[in-house]
Amino acid sequence: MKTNPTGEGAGPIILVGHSKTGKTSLFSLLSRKTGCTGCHHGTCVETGRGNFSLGGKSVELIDAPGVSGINGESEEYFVLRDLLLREDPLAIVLVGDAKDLRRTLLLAIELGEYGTPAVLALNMADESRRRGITIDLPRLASLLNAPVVETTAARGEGAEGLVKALAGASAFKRLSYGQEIEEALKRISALLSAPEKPLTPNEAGALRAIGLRLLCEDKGAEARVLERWGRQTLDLAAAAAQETRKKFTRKPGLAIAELRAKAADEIFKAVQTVSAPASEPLSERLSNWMCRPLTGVPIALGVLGFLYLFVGWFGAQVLVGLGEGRLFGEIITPFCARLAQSWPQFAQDALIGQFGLVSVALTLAIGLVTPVLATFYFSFGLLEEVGYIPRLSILLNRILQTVGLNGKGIIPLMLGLNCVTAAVLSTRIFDTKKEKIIATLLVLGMPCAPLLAAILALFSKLPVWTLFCFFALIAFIKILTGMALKKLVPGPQADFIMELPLIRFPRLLHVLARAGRSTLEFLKEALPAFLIATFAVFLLDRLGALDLVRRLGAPVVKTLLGLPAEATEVFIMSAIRRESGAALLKQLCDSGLMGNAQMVVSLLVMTFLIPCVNSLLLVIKQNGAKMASAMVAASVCYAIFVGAAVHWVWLALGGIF
Amino acid sequence: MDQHEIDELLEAVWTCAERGEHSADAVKGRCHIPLTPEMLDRLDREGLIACAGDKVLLTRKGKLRATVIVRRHRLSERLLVDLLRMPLNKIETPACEFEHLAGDAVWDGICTLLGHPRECPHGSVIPEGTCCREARLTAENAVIPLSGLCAGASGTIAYMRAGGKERLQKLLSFGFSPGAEIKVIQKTPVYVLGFDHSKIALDPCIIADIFIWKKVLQEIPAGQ
Repeated sequence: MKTNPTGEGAGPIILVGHSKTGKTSLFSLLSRKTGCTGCHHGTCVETGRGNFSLGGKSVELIDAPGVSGINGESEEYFVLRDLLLREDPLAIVLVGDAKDLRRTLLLAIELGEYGTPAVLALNMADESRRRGITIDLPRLASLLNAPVVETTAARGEGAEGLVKALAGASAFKRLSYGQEIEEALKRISALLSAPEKPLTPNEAGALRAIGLRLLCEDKGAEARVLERWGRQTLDLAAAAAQETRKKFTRKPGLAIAELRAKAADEIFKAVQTVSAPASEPLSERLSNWMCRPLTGVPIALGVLGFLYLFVGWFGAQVLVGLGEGRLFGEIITPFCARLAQSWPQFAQDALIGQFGLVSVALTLAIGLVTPVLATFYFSFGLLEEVGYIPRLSILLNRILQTVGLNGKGIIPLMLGLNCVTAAVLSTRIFDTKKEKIIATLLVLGMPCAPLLAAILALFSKLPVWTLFCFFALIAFIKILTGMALKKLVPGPQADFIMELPLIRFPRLLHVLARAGRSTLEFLKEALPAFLIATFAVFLLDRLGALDLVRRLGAPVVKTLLGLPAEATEVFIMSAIRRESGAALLKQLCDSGLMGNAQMVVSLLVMTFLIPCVNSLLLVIKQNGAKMASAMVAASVCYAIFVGAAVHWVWLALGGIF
Repeated sequence: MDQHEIDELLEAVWTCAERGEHSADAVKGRCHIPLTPEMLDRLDREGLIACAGDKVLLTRKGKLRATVIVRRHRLSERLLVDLLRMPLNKIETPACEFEHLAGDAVWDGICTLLGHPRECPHGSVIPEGTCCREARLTAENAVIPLSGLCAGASGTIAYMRAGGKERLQKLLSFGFSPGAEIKVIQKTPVYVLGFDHSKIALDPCIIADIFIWKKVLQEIPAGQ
């Protein structure tokens, strides 16, 4: 064990824990810095970093992504293990849901193998008390061999106690796994602590964990040993593990896991008492209604209706009318026009012309996309905060299974409606490569929130049913693609198992603040892109290059897709940022260059065509350049194919609507 | 005269008594081995049977031993018929050989495996073993697959079948472990299980790997 954390000033303190235990709230409370809370199961991948004062010294605080365990081969486990081994933490704070003590204890026991000094923070203590749960904290602390504190981070309670407890942090109790396994662990530890490569204190503490994982034939552990200690050591260690495995009639991994579960259960039973709550709380009943098909489907439709009314009507019509129509159309653009009266023609056009920075870029970004986006972020945040989305996955499990995913797939798909980049990140919640590939491909063709905003604004002039047809068409295409991918991508179907967070009353201010932050972030990131894209198109137009591009694109755009040549610009802009293309599209439609069917075709092509730069980079990072270019090539061909198909079907049907 | 022969003889006396026949001749007819008066004498001397004139009766000690052997014989018959699907007319010889296999634990295991049968394939009563009495007391507590519970019912996890290492490990990491109490909240379209204070949704195919002790509303007092 290492020395008392306050004694040194070196490593960071890492907050770890399951998803939805309020880690990030605690992080914000300690570091007085806002992180992205309320992320779903493993979707919060960025590890938040901040500082806080511990014993008069500033110490780095790391907010690790939520996990469902630490031993496993899917990526989420990997991130946490990597943090523990590479960051050389001073201490860890295990943040657990006080209502879910058994699972928290299981994680504590697993973390104990790493030997890092630790404190257990039982968060959401208020909720657990309300449910009649009492936990014997001193007893728990002595059984775990580490300090235990109660916190209610959402209300800012318990931070002081936690900081005080950190001074006495000590590693969680280690289990003894019986003679055979312990001997094997000793042998492997001896192999790994060969003198030529001195170990960091954390590595020394984690030898046991690595040994245990080698015994369980964990590929990740083998890779780590190979990387750090070389082939020879790995072979020796693997041989020792294999020899031990032979002594068991079944996999030692299971025996180890069962021992851990049993130990967690014993501690759990020793410290927790529950006095029965008076009645089933309303949240329980609500949760049940949401999960059962009979009541769940109407609720889902209701939620959809709310989304449409709030985002589609209030955001895309009322607010856009105010922003684009009033603010920009009647005030800002005329003002700029007056301002620029005396400027040379070139500058005037650049500012308020056909591809003007104010008349197009700012109008579209701020007047059109932002209002819809803000309403979308708010309502999406509301659903997340309530805990609705995992419940939707129950209703959709079967459907998602037909496309090779399972209920969990709803998370990346819903996130895809928010931001494709976040959705691609979230595909790491899947355990199998097959699911990851399918989900990434499906998500790449999702209309993300900014694009959705532009789409909603475009459709606001058409009857409602056309919008539903559009989404139905996208859903239909997705299902077809998914079914094909399910056949094409090799691998078995994965299990669906998922924790449902509590249904809780949303903290409206919190959701509002988050939506505001997300919208601001969007503006910060997208506004320059909007301006650059518009200016680029303006310059191309001036240089006559636009004509050239139009002519080059004509065979595809005009003949195959039946679109006017101007649509090429839309696609160019959408390659830079998808919604900027959609916004330009709106101008084309408004000026009567495009009919409704052509608009739908353009939107479909844009939706499926090229993901934005951010998500592209991420796809490359997650899947490698080769796989990523195959994915992008597939989606470009696919976009053109879908657009052409819709165009020709539309023609064959005689050109209705 | 070896143990094997004593067993055969006792078995014959038991089966005759079952039918209300107590004569030495009847016993002779039922016995699979040639019966001589000396053999009866010897058993009488050992205190296993009591001969009175033509009648042959089992003593308490003899009855105890005979019960065990009859039970084994009839369980063997059930095993051969129910599990090995052998025709009735072919089971007698192997059953006679099986019954001499020693070890109460083995036979209680077979009895449990067969579901504590009450009768042999021929319709005769199988004497009860301790396992049958215990099973009767805990009859309502039987281990059943989780899918056997209806929505709203709860039970304690007895064991989980290893449906692949990843799956079992996943279940364990979600806190499923023998001894944990779970409540079935709903069964369709996917299972929702209440677990301490958390809820977990899972595919029905995973449910098939979880076995539970069904919770009884009322414990049956022992000895009844």
